[in-house]
Amino acid sequence: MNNDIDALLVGKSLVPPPGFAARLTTLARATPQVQEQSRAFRPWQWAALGAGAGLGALRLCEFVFVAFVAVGAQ
Amino acid sequence: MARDADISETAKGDHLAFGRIVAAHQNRIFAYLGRIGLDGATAEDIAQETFLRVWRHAGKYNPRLGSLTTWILTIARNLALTKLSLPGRPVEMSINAETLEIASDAPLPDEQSIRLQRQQKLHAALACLSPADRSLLSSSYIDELDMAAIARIEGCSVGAAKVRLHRARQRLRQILEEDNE
Repeated sequence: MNNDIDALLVGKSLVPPPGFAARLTTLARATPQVQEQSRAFRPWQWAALGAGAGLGALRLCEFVFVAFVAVGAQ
Repeated sequence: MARDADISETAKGDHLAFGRIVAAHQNRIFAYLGRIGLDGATAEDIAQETFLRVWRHAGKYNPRLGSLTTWILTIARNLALTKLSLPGRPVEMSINAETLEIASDAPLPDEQSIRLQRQQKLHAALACLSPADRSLLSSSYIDELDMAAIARIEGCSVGAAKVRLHRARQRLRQILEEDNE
C-alpha cells in the first residue's frame, strides 16, 4: 500500500505549461523590484549618533565641573 | 541550470538570472501544487505569483535560513494554503482522462481506466486531509528536501513534521483501504 500511495502521489504531479519560464521573464521586465532597506547605518545616522553622544558627554562634564566648583565653594 | 549566484544577480535586476531560477524550479513547484490537489489553472496562477514574489523580493533571500528551493517552496505553500482557505469557487483538481494524460506514458484504455479510478480514489482521500497536511505530504516527495527543510517550509519543528507526515500517510492509507473493502 505504501508503494501504491507513492506511485499515486507521484502520478498526481502537474507540469508547467510550455513557455512558462519565458513568460515569467517577460513579466519580470515589467515588474519593479522592491528595494530592501539596508540594515547598515547610513552616514547621517552615524553623524546623529556621534552628535548625541558628544552632547551627552559635554553635559556630563558640565555637571561634574559644577558639582566640583560647588563642593570647593563650601 | 540555476547557480547560487543567480539569486544575487536577480536581486540586482538581472532578468536572465531570474529566468534560470524559474527554469530550474518550475517543475518542482508545479509537481508540489499538483500533489496538494490544485487544478492546472490555479496551480499556474500560484506558480506565477510565487516567481514574481521571488523577483520582487530577491534581495530578502537569506541563504543562512535555508536553500533557495526551500524559500521558493515556502512562498508557494503560503499562497496555495491561502487560496485553499478562501471561500468561493473550488480550486481543487477534478480527475478526468485528460488530467491523467499529463503524467501518462500512453497506457492502454483498460490500464488508463484503472489509473483513472485509482486517481479518483486518491483525490477523494486527499480531500479528507487538511491543506497543511497535503502540503507536508507533497513536499516530502521533493527529492532534494530533507526533513529539516520540510519542517522549515511547514513552519514547525523536525519532530512535529515527522509525526504529522506519518499521521497523514497513515490516514491516507486508511481511507484508501476502506475504499477498497
